[in-house]
Amino acid sequence: MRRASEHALMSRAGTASDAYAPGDTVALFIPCFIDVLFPSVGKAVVSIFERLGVNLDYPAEQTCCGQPAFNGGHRKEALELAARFGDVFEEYKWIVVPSGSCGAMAKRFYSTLDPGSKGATVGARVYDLATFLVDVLGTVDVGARFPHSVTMLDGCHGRRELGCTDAARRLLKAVGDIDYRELPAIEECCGFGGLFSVKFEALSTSMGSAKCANATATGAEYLVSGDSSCLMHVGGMLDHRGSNLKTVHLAEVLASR
Amino acid sequence: MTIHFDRKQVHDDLQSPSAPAILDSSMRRAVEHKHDAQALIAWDELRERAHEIKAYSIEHLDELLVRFESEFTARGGRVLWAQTADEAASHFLDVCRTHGARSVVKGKSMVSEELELNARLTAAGIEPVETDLGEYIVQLAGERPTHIIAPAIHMSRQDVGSLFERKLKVEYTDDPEALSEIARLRLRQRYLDAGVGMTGANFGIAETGTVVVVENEGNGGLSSQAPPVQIVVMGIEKVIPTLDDLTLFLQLLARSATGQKMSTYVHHFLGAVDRRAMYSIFVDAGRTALLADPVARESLYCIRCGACLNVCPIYRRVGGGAYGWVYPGPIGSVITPSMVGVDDAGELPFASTLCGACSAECPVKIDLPHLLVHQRSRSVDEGAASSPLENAAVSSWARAMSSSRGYSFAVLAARVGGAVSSMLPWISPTARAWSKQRSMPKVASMTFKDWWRER
Amino acid sequence: MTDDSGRARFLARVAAALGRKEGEFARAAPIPPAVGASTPDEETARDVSALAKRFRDELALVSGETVFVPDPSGVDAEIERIVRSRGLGPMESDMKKADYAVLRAEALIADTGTALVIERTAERRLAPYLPRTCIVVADSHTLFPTMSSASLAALHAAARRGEKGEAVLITGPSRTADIEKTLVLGAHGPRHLIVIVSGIVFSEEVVR
Repeated sequence: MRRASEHALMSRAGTASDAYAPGDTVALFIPCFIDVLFPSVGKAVVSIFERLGVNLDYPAEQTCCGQPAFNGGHRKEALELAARFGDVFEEYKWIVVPSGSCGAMAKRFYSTLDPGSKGATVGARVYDLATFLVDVLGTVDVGARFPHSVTMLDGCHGRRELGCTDAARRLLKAVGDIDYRELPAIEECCGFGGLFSVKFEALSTSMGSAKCANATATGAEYLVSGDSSCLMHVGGMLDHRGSNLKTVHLAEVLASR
Repeated sequence: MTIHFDRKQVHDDLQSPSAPAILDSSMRRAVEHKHDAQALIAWDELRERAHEIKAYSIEHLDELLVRFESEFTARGGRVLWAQTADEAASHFLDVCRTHGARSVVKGKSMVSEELELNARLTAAGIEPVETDLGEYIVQLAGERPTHIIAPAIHMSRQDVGSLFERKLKVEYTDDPEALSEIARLRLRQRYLDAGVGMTGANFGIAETGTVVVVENEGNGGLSSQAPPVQIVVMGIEKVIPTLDDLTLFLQLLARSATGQKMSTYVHHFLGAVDRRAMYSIFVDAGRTALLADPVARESLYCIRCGACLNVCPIYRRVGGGAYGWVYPGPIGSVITPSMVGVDDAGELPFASTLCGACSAECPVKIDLPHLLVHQRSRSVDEGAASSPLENAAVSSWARAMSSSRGYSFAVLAARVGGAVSSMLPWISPTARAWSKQRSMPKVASMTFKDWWRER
Repeated sequence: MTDDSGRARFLARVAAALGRKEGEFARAAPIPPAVGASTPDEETARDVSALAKRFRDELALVSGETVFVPDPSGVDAEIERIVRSRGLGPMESDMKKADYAVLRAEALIADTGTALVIERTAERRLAPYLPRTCIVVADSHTLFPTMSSASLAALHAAARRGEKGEAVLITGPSRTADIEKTLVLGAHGPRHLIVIVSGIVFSEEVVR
């Protein structure tokens, strides 16, 4: 049985057997929905790594990590996609993803799904962007400038499975001219939950509503998150209400000059 | 009985001005208090030990049950075995009849809800009397408890005041202290007149055949000790090995349930003193189904503290009624499919975002989101929750995702579909559900893959 | 109410669920030692004065009261004083009639304000619950810092010896928060809980 809190601690300590050596190649894992709906997030990740002088590669045959199937109880389909992930990323030592939930799928749930498989072994090498920058590269200040007030929304998988909240917060606070404001009730789920967002629409939007209210109450101009799925949901609600509060991915803030 | 996560109730609850506010603010307070209490001890280490003790207990359950029986019997008690809810109720009625009981005073017991004991007793002409204040209120109202620890949490003080005025013919008051006093006085003589007293049990100690009941009100002590006959109804998973193991759980239980350092009473019933009789009814009623499932087995570690309910953003919004059966909240969504059947449990395990707040709080570290996903996959495998249409859709989606060409085609379909959906949102129920309160994301004119290829 | 075949079926089902044949119990693996079991070191350094203060403070948090008397011989007088000042009726052995009950604690646990009481007879079984006021008497040498095998020794011994009756850990007067989570004292059990600890003197405390 996995213990999420333990894993969170382990991941903060860095589970890679070797340290990152300058010149090591980092493979980009760009989640399917970011590829299709929010490509600017992927571009921002590239921009950050280029600024830091990190060698990048993007295995273009990647598709989807399989989380929607896994969460929906469709194990067979999830296994297929986990296996494919293992094949696509097999040769890479470092894999970085700008998403806590997809990161958790690969890093934690592949080994639940199919322990000891190639997917699980390769998936274990996945890092969410924030943890990779802070714990692996040892960088908190990535040379960004974002002269706005922000508050941070914390994706649940990233928070509980990967323990990346502190890293994300530190990165944000180190951004030039940023005015960081803590989100009240940050630990409470925004209500996205994948298909939950449409299957249980009233609950989903009730939870999202609370998140909108808390975010708005900070008076921040931007709501930042390491998870585009949460932003899509909360941002969608804010937009629908004509709110002035804008959403932006952590990578986009860190890429800003 | 098919359980649908009650959407109408969810809808009503989200509209109701008072109920979600009560639930939400009191849940928050409970969680805050608890974190204060926990800060003072090595909380995580205790949870880890508790998990290990429970794991041992469940893996050795057969042996521990026999040991408990032997010790309990040696101290003058009698153990009865009930494989089904029906058998348990029958045993209970047999004991009542043997001892000529005409009324039964009851301490809080979720298990007795599973047995629908009150209905069985009433049908047999024996009066069940709920004594826990929340249960008393809920019984008076003809409703079902909605929370493991606080059965009437969904009712406001005004609700209770009106209820007492109506049913007990007393002058209206909504002062909680006055209302409690009314209940106390009403129940006093009932304890002393009852032929049988029953409670559930928080723990059964195999080493010494000791029954442990934890409570705050004193009604558990009175229900157990006032009548000449005491019946303890216990799910088999309650048995733990030794008294030293219990010490650890006592520290956990109070801190998880309400944030107090200790519940007011921790009763250890050692054995019935002269001229009194003590029975222990062990109940299976679907627990062996959980036991037989190596993944779901972990849910039997549950000590019924209610911590997962207090922190669940969904439970906070809808309360216990929406869950359709005895056990609400995350633990309820996990055990119900195995205990009542995957078909009947319906969409219950799907009504969650898998946020993990529950397992982070669980004092015995049950990985509830993992178990929810497990129940979802059982549901899919047995064709219960997902329609053939959904299965076909997932299947073809997965096929598309398993090749670059399939992926590109899917992106194209999304462009077309997205365009159509935004013009005619009613065409797709998914799009419609999304766009009720959220603007639709748009497929980018140039995907990341496109951009990378061209840079 | 013979239950032998029911019992056999029941246990067979449990064993089968665990992948075993009935009667073929798991090899008796050693039961993991409990965290609750305290090491000898924990119990030797006991600052009784500090424990007493802690006990009083913790009990106060749950609306219980603590009184200290310097000597066990003063306990009866203290009980009389309490009874008089609160207008309680005469001492009754019939708990149904009694305004108050006097219980003896085997141990007092400081970090939760808990008293361990063991009642072994039919006559006394309702003493902790029925009367509205509950007076618990203990000597300061029964103060322990925390719940452990040392502090719960009397309970463990009684259970292991096969004694009957009830051992109860009492922490404050009875309470409920079942109505809107508003705390109400004196639910079904006692409304008042007073612990008299003898054999302790505080320099800054007013000793009665």
